[in-house]
Amino acid sequence: MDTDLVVRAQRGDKEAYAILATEIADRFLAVSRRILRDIDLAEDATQQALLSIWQDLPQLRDPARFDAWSYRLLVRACYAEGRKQRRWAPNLRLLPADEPTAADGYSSVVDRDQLETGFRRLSIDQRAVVVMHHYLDMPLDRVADTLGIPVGTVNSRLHYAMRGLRAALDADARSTTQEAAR
Amino acid sequence: MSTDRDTTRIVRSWLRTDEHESADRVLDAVLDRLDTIPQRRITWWPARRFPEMNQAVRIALASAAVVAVALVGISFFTGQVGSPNLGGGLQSTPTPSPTPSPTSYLITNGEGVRVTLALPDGWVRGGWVVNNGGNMRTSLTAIQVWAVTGNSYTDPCHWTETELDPPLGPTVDDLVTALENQLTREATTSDVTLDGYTGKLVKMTVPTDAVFTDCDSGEFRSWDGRYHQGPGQQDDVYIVDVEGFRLVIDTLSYPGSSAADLEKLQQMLDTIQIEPPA
Repeated sequence: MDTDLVVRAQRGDKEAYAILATEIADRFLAVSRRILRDIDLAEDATQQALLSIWQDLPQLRDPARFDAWSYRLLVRACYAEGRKQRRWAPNLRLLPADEPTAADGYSSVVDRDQLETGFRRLSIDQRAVVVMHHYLDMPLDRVADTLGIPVGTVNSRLHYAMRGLRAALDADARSTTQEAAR
Repeated sequence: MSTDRDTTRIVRSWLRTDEHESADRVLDAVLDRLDTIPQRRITWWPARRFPEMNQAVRIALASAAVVAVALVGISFFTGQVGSPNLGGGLQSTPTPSPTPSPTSYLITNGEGVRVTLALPDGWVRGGWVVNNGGNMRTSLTAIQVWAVTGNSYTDPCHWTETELDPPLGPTVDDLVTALENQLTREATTSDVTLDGYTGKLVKMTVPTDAVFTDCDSGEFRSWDGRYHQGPGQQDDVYIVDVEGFRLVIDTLSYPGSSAADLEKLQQMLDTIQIEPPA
């Protein structure tokens, strides 16, 4: 991220902020959608995060840390939206399974359904760690730095999250096997 | 059975599908609002904390977190309640009453359990909490309706690394056991009946010497989403089974809560109406 832009935006330069926001908005929406599993909530979270960034930018002491700082605001916004999601969770439908990626044999519709179900069972804390590590390819220490939590906590959340997702996949495999045996 | 490596590959592949999100609409909305939203000027010290006023918002959001509670209608306390407004009831406003009769709230949790509460005179609805508007750390008295669907912790102060494993189960006893076993505080449990539904009442208190700033994220938590407002806060947690659904009613108070407010709290419990999912 261009730190000059960050500094200008910190001083209230709306044009500089607009450039910053344009650079990060799509990525923020992609991340929040993956955490929240709902496009409407993701848009709300992204909007809230972008507004928070504008409001709080003057308080960012080190412009070079803009990326980590802004992701943290996004995850906070996801927490807030996730609460709404939980309130409505039983009324939420599962997102339709995306078309499988032809080159990837693992991306079966069944796996996606199971992952969707398993992922929704995770806490927002766990989802954020999974998305940052496995989608954004952040090393665990950077995830910890971004979220402001110890690396051990990141490891723990990731471990339990992946265990839950694995259990979801295995549960489906078991049911398929049982059906086949009938 | 899949291996860890398989799971990682599947998850990474799944996360990378459908990458066509465009935030143009969001971006336009944000940039349109910049002129009306001032930046917060530099206040590096002291560290930024939520001001007291925002606690009302926080507590409302907290209940929303796990509760899956939706305020869906308001009507007069005539025995009838408004029709559920599942699509947009969150901003419901009271219908003007020709008489000073108390209002009641129809609340439904995400599992379809409907709870009707009488609103005492002078009490307010703060999001999904009915409360007396008291000081968050000394006299707040409130009732919250929850459907605890997230996890709980063995240590309510250091909760980030003490999530239950396996996670909290769905029964009344699962939650009772989790609360009874939490470190640093005592919980007493008894049988209870709420509008004909049986369950358990767990009485517990946040230790008066708890230092929230020493806790993870500055929060002392009973379960995912339920963070307490201050040391000494007392919770009477009613956990009842409504035809297979766990309903949690959390009444909270402080030693500083007035006898009148505690009486109003009890009146709400006495007149509470619970309906199972249709």
